[in-house]
Amino acid sequence: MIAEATLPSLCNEQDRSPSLPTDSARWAVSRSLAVESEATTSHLLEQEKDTQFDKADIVKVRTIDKQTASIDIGGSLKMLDQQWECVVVGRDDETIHCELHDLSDPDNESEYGEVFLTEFSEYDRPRLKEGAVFYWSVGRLREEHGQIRKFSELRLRPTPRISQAAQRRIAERAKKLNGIFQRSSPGYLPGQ
Amino acid sequence: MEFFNDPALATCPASDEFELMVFGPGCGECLVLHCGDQQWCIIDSCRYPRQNLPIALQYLEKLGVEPKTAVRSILVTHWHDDHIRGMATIVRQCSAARFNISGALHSEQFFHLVLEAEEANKLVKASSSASEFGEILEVLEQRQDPPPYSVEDGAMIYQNIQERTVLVQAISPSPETVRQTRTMLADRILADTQTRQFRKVGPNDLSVAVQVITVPAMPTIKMFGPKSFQTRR
Repeated sequence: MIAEATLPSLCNEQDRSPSLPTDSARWAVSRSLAVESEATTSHLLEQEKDTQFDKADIVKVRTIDKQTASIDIGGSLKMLDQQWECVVVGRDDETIHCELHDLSDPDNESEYGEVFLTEFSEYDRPRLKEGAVFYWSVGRLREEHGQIRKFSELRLRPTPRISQAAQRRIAERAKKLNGIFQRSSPGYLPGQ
Repeated sequence: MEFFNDPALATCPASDEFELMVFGPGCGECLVLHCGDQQWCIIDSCRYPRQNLPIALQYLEKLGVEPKTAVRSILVTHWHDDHIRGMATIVRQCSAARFNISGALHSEQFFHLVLEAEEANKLVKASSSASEFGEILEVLEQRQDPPPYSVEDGAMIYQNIQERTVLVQAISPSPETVRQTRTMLADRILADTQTRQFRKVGPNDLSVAVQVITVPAMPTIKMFGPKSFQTRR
């Protein structure tokens, strides 16, 4: 069974990661290879024949940060190539519309994308409302026996709860800030 | 930066020259205006890839202009990510400049959403522009003078008082848009706290559009922007 996901181009004009395709506006995602969990939907996009792991690749990839660029998961090594923070800005029956902010390189321009709701677990779908944030990570998974697969993963960000004390502090500060802004009226001439 | 190598661009305009520089990866994400008498205005901000300093400050530095005293007015036309990158640095460095935002965003509810998003960003890694705005608010809180302004249609962003040669005036947002936005923001504060978001506030109709009037017409206008836009007169 093949599901088609409409995802934005992986790289924009300013940034072209050597290890990723740059023209994949639409991806055919093999559902049969999908690895799903309650909060995570993963897709193993492509199985690479080359089982020789080249350590130099680790140096080439642009990392999110040194701690999370490669993660050892029980003998397998998960290497992130690129990661976006995606903010849901709209939703229709089948897709969500989102803004993508490149966490790998904040200098990259924000992009716009559409993702099928079926890419997410049933548990997560009701939570994908306007303002919800999820992460889209792409990279490579080196399995214990040396095989390397590319992966693409969508993970919904749990919205942090702000404590009541912090809420009170925020409300007071917002009131104070509102007071420091002066409202200019038409015809007012500020002294420069 | 490559274009700074052009000697014409690295020359500080004379006191009686008006200059408009248009920067941005797109077109017009940052405007730098010389309004005469070594007084400058900055409208919006952007950073070029792999550059920490916002382009406006890089340009002024190249000209040998001291932003602390020379920049007199800063305007954020609207709160879209590509127009505000590095704005907190500009506000911090240009301490004599008045900070202007759209009147539609001058509300306790909007500031509440910003601070809430900033608080959330402390708890999880995020790239929300709320942090940029939060930093600006922090600077403005500490700075007594000049006070920040919220502008509506007709408000003055800048006027060269001495020579009366340059006028930068807002022609939007309309008072009705401002009223509607405040109502919407108040509704949002009452909405589900799990998904309400600061970044969704700020469609183009809340933006500040400006007109720049030079009276009498100043002798030189330099413009610079992306190649497709580049024009010199």
